[in-house]
Amino acid sequence: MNLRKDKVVQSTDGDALSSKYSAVQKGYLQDEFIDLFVAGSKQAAAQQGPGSARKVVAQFQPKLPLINRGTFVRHHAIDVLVDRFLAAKKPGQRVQIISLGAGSDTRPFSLWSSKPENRDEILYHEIDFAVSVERKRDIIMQDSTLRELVGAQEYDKTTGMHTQRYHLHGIDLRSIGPGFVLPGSDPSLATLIISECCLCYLEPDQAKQVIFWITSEFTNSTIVMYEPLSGQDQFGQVMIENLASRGISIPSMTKFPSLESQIERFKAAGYTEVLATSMDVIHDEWLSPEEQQRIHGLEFLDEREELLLLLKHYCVVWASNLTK
Amino acid sequence: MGGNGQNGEIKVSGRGKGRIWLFGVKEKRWRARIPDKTAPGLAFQVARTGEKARDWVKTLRFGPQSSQWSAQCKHVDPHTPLRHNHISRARCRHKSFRHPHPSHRHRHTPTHSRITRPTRTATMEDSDVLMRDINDDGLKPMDAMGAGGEGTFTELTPTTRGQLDAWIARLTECQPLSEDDVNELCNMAKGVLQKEENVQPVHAPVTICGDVHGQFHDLMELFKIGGPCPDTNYLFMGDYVDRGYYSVETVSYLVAMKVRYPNRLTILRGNHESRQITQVYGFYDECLRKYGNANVWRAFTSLFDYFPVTALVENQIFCLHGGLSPMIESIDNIRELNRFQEVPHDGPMCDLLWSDPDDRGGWGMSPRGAGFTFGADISEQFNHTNNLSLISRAHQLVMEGFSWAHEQQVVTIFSAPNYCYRCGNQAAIMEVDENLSNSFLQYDPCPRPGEPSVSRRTPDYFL
Repeated sequence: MNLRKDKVVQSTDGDALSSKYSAVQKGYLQDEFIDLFVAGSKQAAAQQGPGSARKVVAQFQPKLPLINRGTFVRHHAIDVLVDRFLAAKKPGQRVQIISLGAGSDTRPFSLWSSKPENRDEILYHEIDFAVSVERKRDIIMQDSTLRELVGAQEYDKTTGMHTQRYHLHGIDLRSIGPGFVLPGSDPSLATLIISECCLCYLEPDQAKQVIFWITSEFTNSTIVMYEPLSGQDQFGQVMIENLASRGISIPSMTKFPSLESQIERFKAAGYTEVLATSMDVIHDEWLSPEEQQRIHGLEFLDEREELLLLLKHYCVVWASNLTK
Repeated sequence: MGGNGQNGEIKVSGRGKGRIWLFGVKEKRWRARIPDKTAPGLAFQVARTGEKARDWVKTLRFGPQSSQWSAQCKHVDPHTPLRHNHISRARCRHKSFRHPHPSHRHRHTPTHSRITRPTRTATMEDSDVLMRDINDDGLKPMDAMGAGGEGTFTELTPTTRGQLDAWIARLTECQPLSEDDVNELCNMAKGVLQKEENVQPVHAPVTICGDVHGQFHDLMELFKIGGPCPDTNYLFMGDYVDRGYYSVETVSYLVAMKVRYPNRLTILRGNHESRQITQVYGFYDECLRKYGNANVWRAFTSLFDYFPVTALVENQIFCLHGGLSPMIESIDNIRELNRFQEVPHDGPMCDLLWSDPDDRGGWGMSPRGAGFTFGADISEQFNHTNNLSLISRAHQLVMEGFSWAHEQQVVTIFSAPNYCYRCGNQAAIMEVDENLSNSFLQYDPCPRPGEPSVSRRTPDYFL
């Protein structure tokens, strides 16, 4: 495997984290745990030398309003869909969430801390590259609140992290296929798989293998996926070129350029309920008037056309066979 | 037919009838009718552009004794060929059209352009006259221009002119000026801009441009495509800084050109020409990065307070950055504003720089958090009240570089191709000719030889 390419993909976690951090700073989002991960990221960079430290300081500068707004819409959309999944469960029923390429995501901690009953009812798996997982484990183990939330007892250096409600797996997604068994997972539970800009970095065949594994292993599964669309237009073309200049390739953008092709993709995988929408629709229609007004008041947004253009090139997909 | 001039004397050679453009005090263009069998010393009738033949007010006599003519020559840049006539424009255009990529540019001329106002009379023929450089050395400054000589004109000393030319040469290479030079330039520009009006009158022909946003190389491309300034008159509708990586060079260049050729270039204020916005969108950071302190940012943002907010081309085309305001019914209301201040958060001046046309009628809340949206009914009422044919504005990204709205009562022009190095859009400029007919020139981003791609940060995406 191309090590440099892997590093580039790992670096996208920094983009996601710094974007979310900026949105939190501006008041778009709330995240009581993000400071720990930002500090961890800065610390890790400092250990790599002054060059990396400078880079990471630059990365955590406030982002443009359009990036803040887009980050807010992304998190809002995933929140809504996760809530939709959780709303379907009966009280006391256990469910399972598997987050692909979780990086520095704080969602499990927020879920457990917002509702105490979630601690017994939500089994949470996070999968990422081993290096990312190690850093996350260190951050969790160094903070007493997080340690308590995940239910960690002792610090085992070798195997990611496994508690009764939390599993942190250092697994390369490219090694996952039919027959793979995820340690600690329970195929009998209703399972939500979250891919926030993760499957899109895989070659289409590898991504297909992962989806095939999900459908064969978890009979009762829902996928929530957030990823870019090329839209087969100039904006998408420039996006592909710009990301290529950073060494990032997103094969799914050309393979699944539109909402229709994404819907087709999951129908072909056997899902009965497949919904997809672009983020500009979520921006305009998924927010309550109060929320709209709150967001408008946070900062001037001079780049509305650019924002809508950017949002049109991202989608969320909900694919579920729960109705079966 | 051709013309040549020296020391206030125009030598007309060739045969035939035609029109020539003369540039006079405040660089108003005068239309001259050249009679048959022209020869040096013959009388010329002139009229201000846009006026009908019966309004012709001057009889000009070519020759050394004609003070008026020498006065008109006085402010013509010796390096500038006077070629605002058909043949030279056509030549210039043909040349600039060439581009290594065949798909690079397209010409768009609306077949149903509604902005036609015939100003030619039957007596005026269309043959072309080419006039060349007129050496204005040794001529007295001219203030007593008679009928056309309203206003005063700030004389550039040869030293200042040399200084400006040196700065412009440096900036053309995308090299920023020193901090001291920027301060000096801004002081000179204040002198020029403070005399301009809130509704700055502009004469046709003129090429109208929208947002540039620090995309310096694309601005140079714009001048290649529209014709070099000052040979072509330009009107920029704001947003020179922020977003692009060369805001400092872009705004320095435009301001230096403005001081050097004050009557060939009009630069309006955009909503980004403000202290507050530039701190969010990059100009402030760029100044800190390039100068190590905020002095240059301070100098430019205090200069921005002097920029005119709107312009009026031949009393017909109303140009501004954003759009209309519910607090402004007539253009006279704008003349009453005190524009010498930071762009306010609300009120008429803010609206002019922030508002957008909308498909919905009436006034609406702007999703930008400042200004308003206005419908076709508002535009129609405003144009009717003020006897306008068109509102020309910028401010919004449009993928084709220009976009009509409100049944061609409003046009949006956007002149930053591949905006923010992200959007993949075309840019456009609008040429308005002496008859106020318009045509659009579209162009793609310029190839950037010499700009190391590593110096460009990839724009942010959600990853």
